[in-house]
Amino acid sequence: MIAPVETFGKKGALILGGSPAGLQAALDLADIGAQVHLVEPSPFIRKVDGSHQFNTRLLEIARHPNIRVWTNAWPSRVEGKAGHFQVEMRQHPRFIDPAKCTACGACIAACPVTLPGTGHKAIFLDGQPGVMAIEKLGKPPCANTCPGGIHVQGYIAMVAQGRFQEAIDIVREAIPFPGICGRVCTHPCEINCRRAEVDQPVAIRLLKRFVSDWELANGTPPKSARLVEHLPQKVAVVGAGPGGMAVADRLARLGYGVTVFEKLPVIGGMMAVGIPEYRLPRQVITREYQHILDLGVKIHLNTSIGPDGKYSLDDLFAMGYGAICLAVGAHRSLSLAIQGEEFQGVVHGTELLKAINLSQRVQDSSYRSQVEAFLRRGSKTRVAVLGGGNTAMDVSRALLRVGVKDVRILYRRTRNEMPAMPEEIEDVLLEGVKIDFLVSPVRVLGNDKRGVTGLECIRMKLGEPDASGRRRPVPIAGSEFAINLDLVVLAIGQAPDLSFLGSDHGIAIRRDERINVADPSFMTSRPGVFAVGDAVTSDKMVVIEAIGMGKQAAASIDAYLRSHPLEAVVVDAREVPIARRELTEAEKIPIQRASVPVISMEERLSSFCEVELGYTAEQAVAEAQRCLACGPCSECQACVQVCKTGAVIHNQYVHFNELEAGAIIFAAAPEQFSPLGLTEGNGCYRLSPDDTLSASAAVARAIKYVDTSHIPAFLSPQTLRVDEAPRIGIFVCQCGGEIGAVVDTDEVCKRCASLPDVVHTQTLAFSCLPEVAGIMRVVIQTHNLNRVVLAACACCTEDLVCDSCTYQRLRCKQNLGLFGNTTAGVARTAPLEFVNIREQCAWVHPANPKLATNKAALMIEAALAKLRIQNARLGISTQVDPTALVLGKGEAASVCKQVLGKYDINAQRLQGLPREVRRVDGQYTVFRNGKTFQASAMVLSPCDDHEAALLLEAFGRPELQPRPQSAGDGSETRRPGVFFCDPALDPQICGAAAATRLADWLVRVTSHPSKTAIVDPTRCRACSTCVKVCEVGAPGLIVGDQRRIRSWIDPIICTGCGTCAARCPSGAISAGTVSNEQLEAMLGVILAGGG
Amino acid sequence: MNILQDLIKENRVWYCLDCGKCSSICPITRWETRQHTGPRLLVEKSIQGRGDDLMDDPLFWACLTCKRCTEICPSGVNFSEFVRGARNLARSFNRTGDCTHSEMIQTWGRMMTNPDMRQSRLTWVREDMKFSEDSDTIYFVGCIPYFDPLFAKIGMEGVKIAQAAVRVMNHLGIKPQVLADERCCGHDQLWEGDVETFQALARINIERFKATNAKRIVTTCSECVRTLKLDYPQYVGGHGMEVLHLSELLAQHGLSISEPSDDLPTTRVTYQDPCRLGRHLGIYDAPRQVIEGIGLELVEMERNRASSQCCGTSCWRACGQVSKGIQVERLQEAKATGAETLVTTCLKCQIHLKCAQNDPILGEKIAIEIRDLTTLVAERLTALSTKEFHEEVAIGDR
Amino acid sequence: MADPKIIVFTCNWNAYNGLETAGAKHLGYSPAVIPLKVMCLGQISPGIILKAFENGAKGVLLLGCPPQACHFEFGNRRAEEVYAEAKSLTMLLGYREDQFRLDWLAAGDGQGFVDKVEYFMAGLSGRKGRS
Repeated sequence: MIAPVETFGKKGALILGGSPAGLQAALDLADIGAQVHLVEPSPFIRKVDGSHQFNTRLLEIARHPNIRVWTNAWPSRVEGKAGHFQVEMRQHPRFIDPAKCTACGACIAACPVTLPGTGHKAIFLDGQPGVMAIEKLGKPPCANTCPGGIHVQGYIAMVAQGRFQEAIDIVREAIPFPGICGRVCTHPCEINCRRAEVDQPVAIRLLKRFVSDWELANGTPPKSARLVEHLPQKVAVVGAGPGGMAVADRLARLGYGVTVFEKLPVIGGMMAVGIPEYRLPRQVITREYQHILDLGVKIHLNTSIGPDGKYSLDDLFAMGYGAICLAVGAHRSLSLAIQGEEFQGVVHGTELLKAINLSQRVQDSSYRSQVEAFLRRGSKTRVAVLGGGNTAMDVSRALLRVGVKDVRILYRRTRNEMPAMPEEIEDVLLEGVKIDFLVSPVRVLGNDKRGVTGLECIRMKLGEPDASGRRRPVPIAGSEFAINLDLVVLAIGQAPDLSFLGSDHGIAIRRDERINVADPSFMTSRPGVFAVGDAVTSDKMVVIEAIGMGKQAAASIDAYLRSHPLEAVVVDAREVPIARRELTEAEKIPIQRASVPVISMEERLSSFCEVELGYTAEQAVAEAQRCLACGPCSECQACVQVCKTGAVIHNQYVHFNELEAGAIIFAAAPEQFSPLGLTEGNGCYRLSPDDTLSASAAVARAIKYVDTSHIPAFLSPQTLRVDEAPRIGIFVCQCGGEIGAVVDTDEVCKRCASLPDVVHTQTLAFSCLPEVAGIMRVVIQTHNLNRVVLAACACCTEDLVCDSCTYQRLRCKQNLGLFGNTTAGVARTAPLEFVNIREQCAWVHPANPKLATNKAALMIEAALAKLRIQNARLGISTQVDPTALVLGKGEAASVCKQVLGKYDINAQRLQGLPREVRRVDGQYTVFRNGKTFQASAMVLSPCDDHEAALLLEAFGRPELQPRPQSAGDGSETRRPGVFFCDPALDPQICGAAAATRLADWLVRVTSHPSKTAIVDPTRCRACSTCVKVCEVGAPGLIVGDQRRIRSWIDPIICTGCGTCAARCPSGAISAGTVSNEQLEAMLGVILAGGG
Repeated sequence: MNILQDLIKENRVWYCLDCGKCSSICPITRWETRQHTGPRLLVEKSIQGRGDDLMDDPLFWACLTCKRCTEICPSGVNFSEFVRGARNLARSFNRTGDCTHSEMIQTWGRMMTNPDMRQSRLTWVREDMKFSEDSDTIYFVGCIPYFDPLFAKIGMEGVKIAQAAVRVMNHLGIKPQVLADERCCGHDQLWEGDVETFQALARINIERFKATNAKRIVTTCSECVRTLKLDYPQYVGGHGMEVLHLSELLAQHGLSISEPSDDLPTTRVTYQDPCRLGRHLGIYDAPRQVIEGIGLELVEMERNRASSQCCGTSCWRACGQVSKGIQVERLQEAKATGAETLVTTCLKCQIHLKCAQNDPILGEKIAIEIRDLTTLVAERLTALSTKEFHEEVAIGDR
Repeated sequence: MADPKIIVFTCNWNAYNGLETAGAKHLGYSPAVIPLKVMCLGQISPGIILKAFENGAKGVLLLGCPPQACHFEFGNRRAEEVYAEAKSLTMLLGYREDQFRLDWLAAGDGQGFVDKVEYFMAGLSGRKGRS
């Protein structure tokens, strides 16, 4: 789906690649008033060489009002030309809400999947934005094909970790029959398992069986998640097979009263009467049904429904059932329609199986006599089973177990076409049943008196594929032959027996004798009557499909009873891709599938004991570790369960956004350029990822195509309510236990509440969530607080991002409106102080909760002491004229001057050497043969090192000379507002770059609050100490009132280090940030604080 | 406010005639431009019981307590003492003046009230200096060692003064004793109204004095002299010892250098009377005798002796444009005498005036060498005495 | 009387980042250590140091940016000057060499913070750790 065209960044810039160059270009453009989309294909913009300045840069970008950062995104289509690029942006989901993630890492610990190759978990954090991301390409093929909707890879991953309880919980969350499916499931998941590309699929069914066995042995019994308050409505389910019970299970969990009516004397439907015990021990069924009964579901056995049964459908409605679900299965075998089929000795597979299976358990002897009747010659009975499905296999193996020696299977196609599960066919042959392939019955031999004596067959060959895609068998003329037999078993499929409905039941039946249901609601033509399972579908169902269908039907029954529209029940239609990633070489190394232990052949043939014994824990873990983690996220939901802020969102989908851009700057890995189909030049510029200088130069070329009207506003002075009597509020963040586990936050609040002027204290589970900021605002207003301390992980309330800042701190500050032009900011009404009690208490004193708590309280008290003498200046930015001087004979000078023009900066070029350069009245002032030239900023563009040296000397003593900054690309110097063009570099590039940086600087000084130190003239002795200590040249002596000489600090270039304040003998200077008095007050509190 | 009333009585504030002479000569009043003020006005405010007004007045904390006003007051109002008392009163309302030097001087003063502290304040002592445990003379060094780290950078003589003092006393045949755990005399604390700290310091010092069998205390600091001599007895109790400024001692010994040497040509100097030594204690002649005694030519500044001008700052508080103005004026006055050197007998005078000279713009206009009398004396003696003494001093001066 | 405390002044840049990293890496140290952040170590005046001792700090440790890596390019050199001044005062006042130190810490060096703090405290209690 395509999102509407973005208004943000219209005629803005599109920057591709979160490289140093990309970041530089983004910041340059954003600062000069362009709106920027910065696009990074990976989920994180990573620190190069882990330099902390880079981190600062990333956060600067994150906070910049003119920059929209896209991670996990890349253009899927780019059209148009310079000034009008249309971009379709493909946004791959992060599966994390960046406004909520606190990066606590609980999810990483919980995640069972470690990514092959990278070694990090499927949920991870590696750069900025400093919030988690989930590596999820789509649905794993296994989970994708599971009709029961089990997070298959999820529980496999848990088994691989030995976290069996979590594994079984994942299965139970989806289906009520782990034990049953663990034994008889036809496991479409394994058929789609990608491991098969390497060797054999992961033994998923056996792993499921393992966890269910483990649960029985060691697990906590499945929590019957019955809702506390029951809903009034009741639902009747007809048929206690897997489908019906899946419906019952779901509805019971939703709180409905459910009654199941079963015609047979046993529970389990076809699972009980169709599947022999050696494959599915009855106690497994009993056990898993018991869980459902524990939910309050009632089952009435031997209770048939319909006109001739105990209750008619009308009766059920009359009895107060709001809905009825028919899950009657398909118990009527299809007939061959060949001659002699009516002879005694011809039996339907399901009938025979039912007799055999029931004779094993119900006390009613009639079933045993039935079996004896079928086996006329006892163990010597010669049997042929017709069919190639699982029923045929079950019948033959069951017969062996009741002692019959001569059992053969006749199938008209070859082994490859056999619908039965391969392992079943294996076992059949292993147990000694003979299979005649490409043989088809022609007629049954015998007579009414003696019944069956034999079977005439014909040999077949394979012809063209038929509708089912299997090759159609064609008879070979004249190949007829006969076999002597006593019993012919027809196992060629079943149909539902709907006769029970009688006439005028109001339920539409399809031509194929299935109940007609609406898709996808499963409601029949009769309102309130639903149907699932074999009764509605003509292709033979297996247990897991019945369960899946039951779950859906339950959902629509729920909707029906709430009289919600049934269409609404449709599961999210947006198709999720099936994950398919490149396998690493290591993953391609084959690992044998763990074979499952079985009982001995004698035991097998002499009893109905379960054949498979199941995996041991060791085998299971080893087998699970074969999983290739296709997701790679397994959707096990472990992260969802541990995340305290609910930041994990698994159902996010790929998004497409339409953007417009004036210019495109490409700064990503070179190989990513050509696929975009862009041509360089004219609004599209290519950078090498690390070349920040060229980035700024490119910006100079790009701006003619972008709208630069979004210049950050000048900050007017903020008036703080510092003169009012203090009304103090204190908020203590628990960081979801990260702090609370060590620091006793309630105790901290208690102690703070007793401090003077404190009118409100409150703990917060989290402080960096937007809604919490809202709460704080309300509290501040309602309690009319005029001083506030937040003890959390954030550490300063400055309009500043420093090397130690984190995405969460930034977010917290943004939520509270502490940055730049935000008017709604809390700090705009009440001065605010942060204290970091996480990194500075909880996380470093875990062994000493008492002292950590004490320290936290002390730090808060200290912050309070600081707040009490908070001065009122905040958020004032300085204003400067857009003027610049370009000095030097370098080639870059002319380039620079011309580019400055593009930025509407009035630039003047001076070629001759200056005698002196000095700040005068907040401007760089050049003195040259009697004349003075002034401008807000300047660029030095020497033609060689000699001229460079002379230019620098003009600034006076060495410390004041604008040498290139120790960190950076040489274009910015140690003197704010002085930029440099290295004569050794390409003048086109460094000239343009310097101009761009200068333009940015001019905007920044007007849009960021100045942290300048301030001189109290009456206390100034003009001793020039400040002038001597400062190396950016901010302080200078001027002639003040009454023509008295005093020091004045230039707020435009003062960097706020506070050094001058520390050194002023008469204490005339107060630093831009924390003042001496505040430090003293804090010290006093901290050191007075008792233990 | 009874207590203010008491102060008014004690200091004859009632007797103010509103003549305004005080305001006309008050150095602060002349330079304070922020608002109209003056001693007379403060007196008026206090008599009217406007305590807050009084304490908000810039002069209240800036007053140098130089006694110039008292000097010329026809009704003998003790303005300085009145201010001192009122400042103590102000403290009880948590009011203090602006601090200088990030309050470190007041801070170490308070720290010294801890009786258990073990200072290492004698690092300036040199091999050649002769001391005696049972000397009858204590050389009270005062804050000199503490000022060194702060003010060496502005060329203050600091411990050189102490070293010189001991050598000079040795020259007179006196082997003084110095106290390793001496405390700040408490002068500044007393005058800024922190009587509590002052008393604590005084008690410790008196205790130390009494532990010796000394008869007299000699100091090189005018503030110490006044404090030990007058204020200890008044506020804490007598110590029964004679207190002398070194210049008095030298004058007593009639130190004089008969034949001026060639390598030390007679220099022309002028003398800055420290308020404490001068107006507070009336000691004007002794220093002048010594100056002439060591063969220097003394030229007086326009305002000297009782009408001398204060160095412009007191108690390390309320320093700024006003102080600077006073100091610049005084330095120009000194320069006007044509003297090459400005001599003082108070370390504070030297510090404040040298600090004022740190002005790159005025530069030459106020440039004049500033020396403490003690080091000058030592220097002259050195020139006359034997070679090895010469070297020792050289060592002494590092 | 309050239990003995160690005041650690850090600049807002390298040193503070080291302190924070120690936290982020859950590296433990003594709760007696109380950090105080200033924009630049050059902002600390000798008076503040004395105040700390006057108020009963057992020790004061100044942590700033490494040489050549000062965020403000020159602040850590100013800090050295202040340190020298304050040092001679604390010595005069009878505090031991070990009780007041100036050191630097590189950004990201959490272990460095713990080591330096522990070394400092070892000095206070007379038992020297490795340097």
